[in-house]
This record gives sequence, structure tokens and C-alpha cells, in this order.
Amino acid sequence: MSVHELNIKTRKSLHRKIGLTYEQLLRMSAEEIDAFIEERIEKKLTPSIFRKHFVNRGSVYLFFKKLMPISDVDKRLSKI
Amino acid sequence: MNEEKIRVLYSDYNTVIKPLIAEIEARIEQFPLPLFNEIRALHDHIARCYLDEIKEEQITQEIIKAERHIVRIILDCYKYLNLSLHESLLLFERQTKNVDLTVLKNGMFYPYYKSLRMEAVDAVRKAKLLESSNTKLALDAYQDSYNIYVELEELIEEVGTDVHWARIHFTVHKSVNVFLWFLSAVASGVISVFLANIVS
Repeated sequence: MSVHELNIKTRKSLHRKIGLTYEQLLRMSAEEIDAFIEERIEKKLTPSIFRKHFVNRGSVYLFFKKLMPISDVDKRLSKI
Repeated sequence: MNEEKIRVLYSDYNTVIKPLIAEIEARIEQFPLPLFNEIRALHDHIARCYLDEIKEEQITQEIIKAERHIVRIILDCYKYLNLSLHESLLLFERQTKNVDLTVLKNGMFYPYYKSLRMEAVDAVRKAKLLESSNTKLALDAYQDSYNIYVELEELIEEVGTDVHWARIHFTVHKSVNVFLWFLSAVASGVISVFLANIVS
């Protein structure tokens, strides 16, 4: 059995904020949704590692700020 | 039986987690990386169910762990959303610090705003308490608090234009007061000099 279900109010709010209906969100892939949002906000989505007052859970990499963006990885690889 | 449970896990991801993460991205305009880390952990447990030598009991355990991650992710999604919405409220309150909100919508806005705000905060507190005792109810409570926060956001958007004019009205009123004070200061100075000349 499902642990949770989004009610009608939540589904309406999703449509209002994202610009896609709940049914569209279910059909689209994560990349398609991200591309849609990026076109709407007219900029690329960037990683959010830390939010003020929000404590990260169980990730040593996040805690020690050791997550590397792939662009950094590519840069370092090109120097080998 | 286990196959059905795995299907439900994927259904929960598709129907609940994916839409909520899309809303978070639309609101904060960033990828919520801590959530992505949890999703990685979730899929890792599911993937392990398909290892060659895994026994039935181990699959059951992996599914239970995956279910815990599902609950964790949904709770975190709601917390992200509630935090983002609460921060919008605080911004609105900072921006309207010197605006008389009691005049908006013929006095109907402010009492409704205050009571809804209190309801939203109470709902979040109730959800936090439920987290440790009943996660299913906690999820519903977090969703309720999110719905109330969204209602608050819509209420603020409704009075956006009126607030703008109220701020202009406040600025003009304050400027006029300052000008009149300055005028009275100059006038009293002139009168004092005039009277001093008459006396002398």
C-alpha cells in the first residue's frame, strides 16, 4: 500500500507553481520537467547543497563539503 | 509479493516524490541535493533486491529499508516546501513593516492573514510531534501545513496591488509630515528672529 497520496489542493498548487498539471508531471521524465522549469525561470537550475536552518541528513560528503560538480571533475581529468 | 511491494515503491516515487521535487525546484530554482542523495539510497536498496545470490528474507529487508527512505524523502520535501513558503511570509512581513495592513480589503485581510498564519505554524508543530510517533499521520499533517501555507501565499498575492499603493501612501504621508515639520521649524525660526527684532 502507498505510504502517502497528494490531495487535490496539493495537485492544484503544483500546477500553479510549476505550470504543469499533475498528470503531465507523472508522464514526463525528470529531465523533461527540469528543462521545462529552466525555460520558465529563464536560467539553469544549480545544485543547492546547503539551505539556511535546514540540517542535512546522513551524508558525509555533504557535511564535509566534499561534493564535486562534474565540471570540476572534467577539468581535473583534462590535466592528467 | 515482494515484486508488488517494489512496484508500490516506484509508484510512490512517481506519484508523490517526483511532483514535490519539481515544485521545490520551481520555488527555490535549485536542485535540492540532499534529497537527491536520499533518492540514490532508495534506489540502491531496490537495486540490491535484484542481486544474483540474494535470499528472499534479504529482499524483504531491503524493501523495508527502501520504504523508510521513501517516507524520509517525502517528509524532507514537505519541510523544504514549508520552509520556502515561510520565508516568503517573512519577506512579505519585512516589506510591509511600515504599511497599515488593517486597511486592506476593507479590513478583512489582516485578521484572516493572522489566523491563517497561526494555523500554518501550529500545523507544522503538530506534524513535527507526529514524526516520532506516527509517520503516516505526520506526512498527512505536513501536507495540511503545506496547503495552509499555499493559501497564505495566494492571499498575499491577491492584495499585492493594494499593498503597493499602501506603501506609496505611507511614503507620501511620511514625506509630507517631514516637509511640514521642516516648514514649521523654518517658520518658527523666522518668527523668532522677527520678534527679536521688534523687541530690540
